Amino acid sequence: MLKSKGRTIILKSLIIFLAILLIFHFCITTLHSGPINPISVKFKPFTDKYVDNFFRQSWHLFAPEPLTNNYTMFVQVKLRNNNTESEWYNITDPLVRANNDSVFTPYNRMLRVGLGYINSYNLGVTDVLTVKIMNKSLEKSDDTSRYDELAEITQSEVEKVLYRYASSYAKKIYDEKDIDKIRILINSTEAVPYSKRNDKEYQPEENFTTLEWKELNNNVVAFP
Amino acid sequence: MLSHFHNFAKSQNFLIGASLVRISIALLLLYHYLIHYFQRYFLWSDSGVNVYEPKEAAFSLYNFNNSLAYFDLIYHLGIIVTIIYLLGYKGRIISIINYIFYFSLYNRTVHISDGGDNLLIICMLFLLFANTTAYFSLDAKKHQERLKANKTSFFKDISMIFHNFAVLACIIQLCVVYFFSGGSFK
Repeated sequence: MLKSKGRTIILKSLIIFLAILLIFHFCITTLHSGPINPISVKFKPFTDKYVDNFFRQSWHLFAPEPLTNNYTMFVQVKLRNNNTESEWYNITDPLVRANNDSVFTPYNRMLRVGLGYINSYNLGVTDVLTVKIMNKSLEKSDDTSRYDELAEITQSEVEKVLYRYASSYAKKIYDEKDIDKIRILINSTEAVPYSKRNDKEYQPEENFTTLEWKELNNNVVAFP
Repeated sequence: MLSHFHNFAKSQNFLIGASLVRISIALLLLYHYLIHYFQRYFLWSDSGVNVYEPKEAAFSLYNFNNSLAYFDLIYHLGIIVTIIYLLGYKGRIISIINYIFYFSLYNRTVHISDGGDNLLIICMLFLLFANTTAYFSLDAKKHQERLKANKTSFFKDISMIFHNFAVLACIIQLCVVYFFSGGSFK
């Protein structure tokens, strides 16, 4: 009888404990992944630490501010033989076409990895949320040094990966031994706004960024 | 109301649904492993596009050695474990092993993953505490035998409580996704 009562108490305690844990967990999740507000900013150091390894999530991509630019990446190869320069190879468009050809395709992620890094390179930080917070802090202060510093570090790190990506593509086209250097060109084209969708005269703004010649990265496999 | 909740938490709920979720997740993981089979080095290995600093990188079985042979070993073991998970053998133990393998791959998906992967890995963690092999599995026969015997035990009650809360957590997590992605505009 006593044993049975003890078990009932343990079961009830477990239920109460799990119910509290469930509420606590989703309160933290709500603060972490909900819209930015003074409370979520105040608790950000704690919520970030809590969700860090197993519960990190961001659902800001769908709305209200979808991505507004299309990016294309090109690579050019300088060959050892006579120091000749190749044409610019468009890496992005063939992948987009291959991705659109089938619902079941590996090219979706192949494409995403390149575009993800180009996006980070242009944003100067790795996630949209940080950009928002930085912009809010810039509204209050004219001091842009922290933002510039972060952008510089991120761009330098991302640049390394972009050269790995480009090296991989160059190795697919040419023999590794023939390649002297490579360089990258990034084209950013503004998406046509919905209000201008029927305006045939509308020209979206285009920007080109050419990165410098660099040695081929030999530690990366050829583009599959 | 509290006694209703107590009874709900102790009783057998969502067993068929959890089993169907196990099958769906396993098929998704298998698809993920196999569709990228020929791109696996480029996407996830140390010789691929991403740079992994072992000291800074999140936990991954792939971090322990940077050779392609070791990468292949872990990748293929991951596929085998997923197949066992799909068949529903040794429920929770295989769930944990499968989670470790997929979590290892997930932690290497820099700029490759999407919201679906994010939701999947979170729900997989919750489902470690759920009984996902009661139906449509190799373990289902055992479960049916236990049901016929109609035996209740202390540990079975604890197991069911964890199961119910795990499924509840998955449901709430799904609600969080759609509430914040679509419903909570500025």
